[in-house]
Amino acid sequence: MLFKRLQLTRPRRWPALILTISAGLIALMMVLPLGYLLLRTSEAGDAAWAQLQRPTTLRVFTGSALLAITVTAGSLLIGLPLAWLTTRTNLPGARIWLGLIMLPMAIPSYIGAWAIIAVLGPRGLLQQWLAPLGVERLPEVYGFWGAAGALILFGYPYIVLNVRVALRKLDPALEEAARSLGQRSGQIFWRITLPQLRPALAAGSLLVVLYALSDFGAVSLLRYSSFTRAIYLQYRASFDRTGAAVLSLLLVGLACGLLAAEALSRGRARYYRSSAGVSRQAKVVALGRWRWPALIFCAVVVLFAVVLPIVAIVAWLIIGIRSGQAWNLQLADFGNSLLAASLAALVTIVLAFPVVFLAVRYPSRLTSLIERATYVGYALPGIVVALALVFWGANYLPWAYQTLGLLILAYAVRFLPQAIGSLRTSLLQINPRLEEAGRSLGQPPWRVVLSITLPLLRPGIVSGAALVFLSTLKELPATLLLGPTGFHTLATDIWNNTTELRFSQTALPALLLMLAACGSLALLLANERKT
Amino acid sequence: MHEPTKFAINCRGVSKTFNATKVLDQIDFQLPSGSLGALLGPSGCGKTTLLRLIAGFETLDQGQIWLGEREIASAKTHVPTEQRQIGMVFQEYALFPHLTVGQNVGYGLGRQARQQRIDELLELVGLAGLAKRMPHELSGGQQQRVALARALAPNPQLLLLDEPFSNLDAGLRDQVRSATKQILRQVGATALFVTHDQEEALSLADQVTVMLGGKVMQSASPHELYLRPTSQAVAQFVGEANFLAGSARDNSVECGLGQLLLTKPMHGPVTLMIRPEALQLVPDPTGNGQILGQRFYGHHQLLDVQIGALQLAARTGPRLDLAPNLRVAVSVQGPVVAFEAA
Repeated sequence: MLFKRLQLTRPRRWPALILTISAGLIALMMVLPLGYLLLRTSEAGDAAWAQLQRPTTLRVFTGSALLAITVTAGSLLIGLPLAWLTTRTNLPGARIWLGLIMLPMAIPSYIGAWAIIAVLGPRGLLQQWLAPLGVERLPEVYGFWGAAGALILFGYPYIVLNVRVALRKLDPALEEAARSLGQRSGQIFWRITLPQLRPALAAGSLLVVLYALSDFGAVSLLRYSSFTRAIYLQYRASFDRTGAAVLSLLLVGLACGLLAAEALSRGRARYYRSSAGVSRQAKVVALGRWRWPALIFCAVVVLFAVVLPIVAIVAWLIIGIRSGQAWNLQLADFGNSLLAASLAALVTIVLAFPVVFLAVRYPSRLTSLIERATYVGYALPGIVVALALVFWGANYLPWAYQTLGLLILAYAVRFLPQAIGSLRTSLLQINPRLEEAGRSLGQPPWRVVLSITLPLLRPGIVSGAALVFLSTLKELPATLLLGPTGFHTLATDIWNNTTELRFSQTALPALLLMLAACGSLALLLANERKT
Repeated sequence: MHEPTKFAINCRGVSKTFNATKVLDQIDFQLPSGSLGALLGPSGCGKTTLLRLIAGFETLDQGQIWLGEREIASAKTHVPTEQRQIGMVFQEYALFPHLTVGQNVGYGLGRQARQQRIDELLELVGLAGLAKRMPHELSGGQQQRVALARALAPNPQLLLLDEPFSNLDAGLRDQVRSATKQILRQVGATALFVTHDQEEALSLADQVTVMLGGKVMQSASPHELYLRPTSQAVAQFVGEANFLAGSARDNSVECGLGQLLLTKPMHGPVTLMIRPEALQLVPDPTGNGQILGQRFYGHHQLLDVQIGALQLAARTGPRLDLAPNLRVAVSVQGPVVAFEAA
């Protein structure tokens, strides 16, 4: 039925049909691993039930929920004031603070966790520095508070980002109206501003919750048994992988439940400007003598989120150089990281093409279904995607199992939505009349695509590729689980050295990874500025 | 099936349905070779769809389209756009933003003598020397001319223009219109343009086709369309008109304005159409009409005139002798068009 409509309304049937089939296959490929996970669990039957009823399962569930709630609360407490200070006040150096505050988004969580361990941990820098003063023990960094603290430092930027946008869109007339009705500043904030920020706070919190639930690197290194670590340990510990599959599905269920709850709670209230036209900029709040506490607050956040990792890298690099251990890094691992990330970027962009073309140029219910199916990887925690592909690959593609190919596929499943997003934005800006003009001038469709569409898509291709490159570089769980034997990357080097407490050998890979990440980020930003 | 071939484009019984809405309903449409045709209608009448069917961007559900002697579309065949030899000028021009003006014009040309042809066309549209510019560096009028040059470059059998002047400032529009017409005449192209602007259609085209609600209402020369519309809907859409009831007998009709001459013999109750400028007003204290209101535009004026129970609009040149409340003698110039009373 859908196929029929697609054919009837389109002048040439074959391009659309070929596009539909290839995009459908890609979407299927994206959904297959999850489907396999479901199948596997349902086949396990009793064993799956038994796993579900184990006390550890409940412990992992409540532990994860507690972690997610704590991280979200902490991120809100840090992110909301930071957003307000950098948007609505005369905070000295607001732009510089903003840049520093957002920096953690570029740092992978496991580097942050390593920095915490390497500086504040039992054999960390602080301990070494304080030992002469007779300090024997520092507060424990491993466990709940360490993991929560690390995740808060990576979670609050999501809040800042969302709230800043909302604050800038807020119509100042609302606050002025409240003032004209005789309300004081404090009342106005609680009764007018905060309710208007609710959608942004909800959206930001959702991102933080999902981030806290799906993060693997930080919780594992800081040894807190939330879902992701429990899944990994289950998988490593036993040959029966049902336990890991059940936990994975439970985690996916929790994430889906949260998404659904958010969608339902969005409620009926509408939040928009009441006046037409461009909104005026709100009045800047003068901080007065409050600017000192504000500056101290910003400085403390930046100290933990940005300075700590840099100090850890520099200090341990110096220690490593002195002891001659810093250079144990194989240059090949750096090469592997770059190779994997480049291949992932290339493959993901190629896979994104048919999906985007179909969704944008031939919109219908079928094509939007296909597009949505490709977003599955986005909604799933990385460890779940990795695990599903491990199962699936081991059973159905034994020849591909433990090859670079399967690892690249895992990256593609996880990061395809990023590539699709970039390409989609670009293609939407290309007027289909341009392609029609090309055809009317006597060029066949493929030549039009090569000579008109592709050159115009270039900015989208570049930013999509840079985004996937960056994400792959930082990716840990899939690389750990699916990497071929002996295939080490910077991410796995950091992981291995940190779990074995070889801090000095972690510094160089961490530095290289951050440099490479900053490089692709700079490319991304430069590309965006050009368009 | 074989069709006579004196037409550049020939549509027979063309129908097209989008999502259960009949956008085109049994369209019959022809355009003689070498002429400039206009498809005129309000938005949503199907004129752009017909243009896109001819271009090959859409497929038809029923009917046939011939380009010269070649059948290019039917329920069974669909010659792809790139094989139709049709040039197209888009409403937004659709210039390739990453190519220079010269590369845009040369896009549809083979390697051979490409540069020569590019120069020739840029010369023709008055943009010689701008080949190295990028499209966004040109004014709206210049962009329109590049689009025209690009479409003409491969020597298409038929040139299609979709609202080609609607993106131009009012001041520039007239000038670009006549320049475009002159260029099309110069190369002897057969061209069909779509417009919702009746003045544009009447002043540019050799043949104007009025489309309403997915149907072709009338296809005729501008003069005939304006002076001899075949339906009340066309009369109403093309220009202003007074409608009044009358009783016809052979070549004359009896109505509120007395006895008038008809353009063709009819019988029984009819609806008469009188253009405002066909009403002639002469100040006369004993005249049959009285001026109620006056709108003065400079080069012409519109007057509301009461004649018995009738209220009619009249158009005259700028005159000092007409003013509200004045009594006038109203007469009708020339024969009037009548339609069967609904």
